[in-house]
Amino acid sequence: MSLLSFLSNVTIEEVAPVVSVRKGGPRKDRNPKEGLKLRVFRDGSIYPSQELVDKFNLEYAGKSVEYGYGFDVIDTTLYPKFKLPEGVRAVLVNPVKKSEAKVDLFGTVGYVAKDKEGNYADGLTEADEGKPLSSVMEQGSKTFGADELIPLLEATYGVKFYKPEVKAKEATETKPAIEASAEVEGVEFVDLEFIANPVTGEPWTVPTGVAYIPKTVSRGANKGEVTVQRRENPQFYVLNVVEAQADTNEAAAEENNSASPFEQTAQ
Amino acid sequence: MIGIKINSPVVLAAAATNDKGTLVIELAETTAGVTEKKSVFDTMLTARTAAEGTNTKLLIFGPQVPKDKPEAPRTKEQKIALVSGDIIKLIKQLSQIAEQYMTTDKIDLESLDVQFANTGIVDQASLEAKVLDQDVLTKIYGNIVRRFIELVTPFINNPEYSLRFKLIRQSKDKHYPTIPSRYIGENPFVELMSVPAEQSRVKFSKWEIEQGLDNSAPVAQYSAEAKPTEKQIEDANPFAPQA
Repeated sequence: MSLLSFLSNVTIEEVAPVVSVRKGGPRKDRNPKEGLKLRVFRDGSIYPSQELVDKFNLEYAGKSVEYGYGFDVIDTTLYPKFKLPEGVRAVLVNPVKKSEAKVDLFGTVGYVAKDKEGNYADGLTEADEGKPLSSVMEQGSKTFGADELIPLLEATYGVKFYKPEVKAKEATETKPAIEASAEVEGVEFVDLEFIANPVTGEPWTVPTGVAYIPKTVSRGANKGEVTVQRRENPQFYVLNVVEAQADTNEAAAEENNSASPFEQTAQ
Repeated sequence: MIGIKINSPVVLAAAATNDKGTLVIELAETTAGVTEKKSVFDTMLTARTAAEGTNTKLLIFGPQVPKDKPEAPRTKEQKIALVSGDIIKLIKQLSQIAEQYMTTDKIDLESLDVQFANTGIVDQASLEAKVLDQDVLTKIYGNIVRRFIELVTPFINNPEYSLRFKLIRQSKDKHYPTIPSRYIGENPFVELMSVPAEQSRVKFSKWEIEQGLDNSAPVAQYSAEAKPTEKQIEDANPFAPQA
C-alpha cells in the first residue's frame, strides 16, 4: 500500500454550519453611509459618517494646529437642567473644540513622531512628522465606547450588544485576573442618529450661553466620581438609536420605536 | 448665615465701590429661588429678634506698592512681579464670578483697554516705568473694578443665578471670610446652583483644610501668650514626685 493510499478512503461530508447568535457579519461597513450618524460596535469602537465629519469639522489636523471639534456625551439623568418627561432619559451630544478639556469623542489622536531609537514607523518619513496617525473616519478608538457609551446606551435605550463568552483567567505579573462570563445575545453594532429640536430644527441651547456638563472621572483616586466641566454656547443634540439590520451588507435600517425624549425644550 | 463655608444658595446682592474706592461685594442668602430681603419697616416690627443681617459684605482691596524691607530688600523686578501678581489674582477672582453670568468673550477685565486705560501703560517698557507708582496701581484697580461692576450689575439679586460660593478664612489669625485667591482655576470658589451638589467642584481644597482656612472659629484673645512648660507645671504641683 502506498503512503498516500488513505486518500482513497477520504470522503467529503456536509458539515452543519455554526449558527452564530450574533446579528451581522464581518465589519465590512465601518462608517454609516449617510446622515448625521455614529456607528458604535460591540467592542466600543465608534465611527462617524462622512456627513457628520463634514458638518462638525471632526477631522484631525496636524499636531501644532488647533482645529476641529469632538463631542461631549451626556447622560440626562446626570444633567437635570435638560428637562424630560418623568421616567424618560436620553443621551445628548454637544460639539466642543478638540482643544477643550475632557472631550469624550474624537478629542485626541496620536501623531507621527520618532520612536526611542530615533526612527519613524515603516513607510513614514520626516516629512510626515506631526501628522495625525489616523483619520477620524478610521480611528475607531474604543476606550470611551467600551467603558462609558455602551453601558449608557444599554441603560438608556435598552440596546443589547453581543458579548462573547469569556473564560476565567488567573492574574499574571502584568495583567489582572479575568472573571468568566457567559455569552450574551445582542447586536454587533448600532447606529446613532443626531436629532435636533424638532420644533425649531436647531440644536437645543442654554439662554446664558454657559453650561456645566457632567463628566465622570476616568482615572485616579476619584475614578467614577461625577464632576462638571464648564462649556460655553453648547449645542445639544439627542442621540436616537437606529437599530442595524441582521445582515450588515444591507443598507437600510429600522427606526427605533422608543418613547421620544425630546418633547420639552431644555431650560 | 453667610460665612466661612460653602454658602448656598446665595445671590450677588450688590457690587459697588465705597467712599474709598474699594470694591464691596455683597452676598445674600436666597431660598427656593427667592432672595430673602425684608423691608426695613418689617424688620423694625420684629426688631427684638431681628437677625444681625443675612447679607455679607466682602471688601476686595487693591494692590499696593510693596514696602521696602531693610532686612530683605527687594529689587525693582521683584516688586513688579509682586504687584502684577496681585493684579492678575484680582482679575482671576472677579472673572470667575462674572463667568457665572456670561460667556468669557464678554469678560474683558484683562484687556489693554480696560485695565490700563488712562495709565499710559501700553507695553512692557511703560509697565516697568509706571506700575510701581501707587497712583497708577490705584487707577488700574479702579478700571478693573469699574468694568466688573458694569458686567455683573444686570444680574444683581436675580435668584435665577443662585450661586454656590465658598468663602475661606483670611488667615490663621484673622477669622473673617474672604474670597479664595490660590489655584482657583483648579479649585473654583463659585458655581451656579444648577450644578447638582454631588457634582459640585466648589469644595475646600486639601491645602485650605490643612491651613485651617475652613475654620470659622474666632482666634482666642490670649492665644499668643506663652504656655507653661512641663517643668513649670511639675514644679507647681505639690504632689509631684521629689527628685
